[in-house]
Amino acid sequence: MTVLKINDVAKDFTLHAQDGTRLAVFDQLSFDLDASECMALSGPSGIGKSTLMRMIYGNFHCAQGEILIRHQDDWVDIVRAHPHRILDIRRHTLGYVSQFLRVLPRVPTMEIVTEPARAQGVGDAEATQRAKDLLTRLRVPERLWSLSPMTFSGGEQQRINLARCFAARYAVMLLDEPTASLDAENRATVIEIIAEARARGSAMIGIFHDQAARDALCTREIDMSIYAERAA
Amino acid sequence: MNVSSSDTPLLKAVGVSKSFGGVLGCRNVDLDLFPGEVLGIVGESGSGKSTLLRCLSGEHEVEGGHVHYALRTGETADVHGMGPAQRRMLMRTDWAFVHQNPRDGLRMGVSAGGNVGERLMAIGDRHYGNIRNTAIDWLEKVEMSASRIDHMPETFSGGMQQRLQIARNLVTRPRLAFMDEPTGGLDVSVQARLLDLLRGLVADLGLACIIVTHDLAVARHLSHRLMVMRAGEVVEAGLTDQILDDPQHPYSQLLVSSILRA
Repeated sequence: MTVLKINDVAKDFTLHAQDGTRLAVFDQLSFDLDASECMALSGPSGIGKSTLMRMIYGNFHCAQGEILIRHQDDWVDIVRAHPHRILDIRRHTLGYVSQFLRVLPRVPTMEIVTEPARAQGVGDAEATQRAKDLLTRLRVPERLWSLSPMTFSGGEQQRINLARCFAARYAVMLLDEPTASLDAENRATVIEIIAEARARGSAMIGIFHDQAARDALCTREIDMSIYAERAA
Repeated sequence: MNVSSSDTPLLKAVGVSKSFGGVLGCRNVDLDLFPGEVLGIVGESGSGKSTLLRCLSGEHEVEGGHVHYALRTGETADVHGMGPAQRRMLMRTDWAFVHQNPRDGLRMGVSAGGNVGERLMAIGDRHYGNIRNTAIDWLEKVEMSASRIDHMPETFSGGMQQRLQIARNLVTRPRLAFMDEPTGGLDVSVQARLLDLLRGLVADLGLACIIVTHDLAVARHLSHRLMVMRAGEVVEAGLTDQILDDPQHPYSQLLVSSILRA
């Protein structure tokens, strides 16, 4: 079953304050993604991999093309949908593991991790159970769970970010270097957790600079430099 | 931040325009606000943010356009067409208005408990014990000691006064809050605490909010959606993170690129 369709998408940035400089990133990008697939975006740094993921998430503006996602049996175009609808899609259908945890002051780790699952309507007990399981598997010490992660290390924040996204259930997940800044043991755990979500039917699009993770998880690869050349 | 996925807007504005003796306040503003949603209005001083807020809440008459509000009964009311009695009732029950300066939103000659209790009495609560207990409960919700219940607002710090103003406004469990620079004039540690408090209350009560601020960090923290205003017009509107991370309009780009990163 197809869950995401990218149709003829292009991206450029216009920098109005810098003489209106236009930076073309990519052009004529199209693909479909099925449930349980895991697609790697490849190509050198700066080629537009994160940009594409952020466009799919609705975080970056898209001026050309369609980004269609299957949301509760409807197809919705992220590019044209009302923000209210995009928020609903983000809550129920589309998850995004960014490279950095954006932490709010004073909010404890446990609340941050359970929040997306609770927003999907999962009860407190079940959300807490999922959070505990994931935090334990990801080796985040229990004494940290009641603290704000603001002062935690980069690796700890990354694992909290992963626990937060995988405690909820999404049909489509965007993974921006999910294993970066983790040690070998935690990398292996993250690969397991991603594989479990795939087995439940989640489709994935990811950036994996870590070759082992890519080999273990990905069923397809798309070379972004092809589309970057089309924009040049 | 939880938002219900209801598809009926709570507040709907179409073509709202206002000027003051030929000086432009705001022009041709459209917006939909859904239950539980937080909308930030950003822009520099004088861009028309507060004017728009006052047009939306009916405090200002409008010269063009209209604002419709979905009542609890399922009916829709024209904010500028309703009588003063109905508007007063809304302001006491369904709506909250949090001013930048707490002195504008508090009764300075009445104790903390009285400030909170007054809104309860206005909707018909008469039992002194219940009112006092609810007031204590709300003081605690906004992280004030119950022992301050009989003290005058004058004896509180600016941050405490602001929290008291929030308690006074939210005690009747409104569905919509208008906030004009709610964290303006507070020092950063107090501001962070207030933001976290507001975020929690908004999520717990399922409150919809329109927040005017010139602080983009506040907007990012609290709001789901953003409108960028300049010279009385909305130059860009959309998801908060999209506008802050990939602004399209030259003015939004200037605004975002002007922030100093700590």
